[in-house]
Amino acid sequence: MLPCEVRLFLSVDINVTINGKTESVAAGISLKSLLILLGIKSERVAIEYNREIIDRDQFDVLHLKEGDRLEIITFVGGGNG
Amino acid sequence: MDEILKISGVEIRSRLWVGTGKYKDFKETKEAIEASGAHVVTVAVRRVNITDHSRENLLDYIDPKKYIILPNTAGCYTSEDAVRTARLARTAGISDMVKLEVIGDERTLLPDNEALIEAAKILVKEGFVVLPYTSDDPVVARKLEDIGCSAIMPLAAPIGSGLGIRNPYNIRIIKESASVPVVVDAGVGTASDAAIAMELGADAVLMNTAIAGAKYPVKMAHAMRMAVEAGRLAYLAGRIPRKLYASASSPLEGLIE
Repeated sequence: MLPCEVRLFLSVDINVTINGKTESVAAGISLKSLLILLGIKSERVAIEYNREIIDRDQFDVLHLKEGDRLEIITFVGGGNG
Repeated sequence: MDEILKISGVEIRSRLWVGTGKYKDFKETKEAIEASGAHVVTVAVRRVNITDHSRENLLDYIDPKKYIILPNTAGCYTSEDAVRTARLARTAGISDMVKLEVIGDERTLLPDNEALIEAAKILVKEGFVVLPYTSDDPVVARKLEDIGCSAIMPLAAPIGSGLGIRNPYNIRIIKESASVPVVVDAGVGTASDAAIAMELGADAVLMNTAIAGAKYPVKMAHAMRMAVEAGRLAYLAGRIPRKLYASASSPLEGLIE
């Protein structure tokens, strides 16, 4: 059983913007956990956190808060234009 | 024997470079790339689809250990967006190489050379190996080289137009003036266009639509591979000068009377 404060903390949802869409996630969730939740393989993405690029080794220490904005990109088929 | 093409010290094992857009599926993409013999494969940078978890990743089909994955800034209309995209690509990718595009017009997809130069300056300073997609303008090409770009990528014709080499003389001038490799990028329609680009002295040709949009992309990829090789060989062999009148290739003596 988790201490009361932790359970309360976990039960709170916050709104963050991911790739232009507002999503509700658990307060304090780490970037790493978010990627797992979204089913995204972290080795092929890059993330901008409030317009700043985050190194991959920071994914598990960065925790989300209300109003954060994320851009998660990957490589797709394309040539020019 | 032809010399090996090098971009900023990296050995490039093909003179045909290909894009990965517009294919029916990843399987066709993979087969066409294999048939093309390309060593450099360009990819776009886009938002991950966060609602569709089942979607496969392009890089599951194109092994980054086998190919040089060249991220591009396709779709960027400002130098800020292009720089931002390039930085993200470097973080997600495996190299400092970027095919830099700053588009200036939606209808023609022609480059905004002013914004391109601005973005190139920033990225060169940040240690990127910048390969800029530019118009077939020798002056712009020289400026891009002066600021430290590692290759020049002039268009043959607008992206996806299939019009072929619209200004062969400019491509020649760009090639003769540049000390970095020149890669003809965009506008090729069919194999002969690719051969002409190489005959003009281009170091490589990059294409996407000409292969992906063909009726049989894998066949066209193979045709392009041979055309690029033939064009390169013809360039090295040295073509004969164009003459207005005939010049017989059989002896003039010994004709029967």
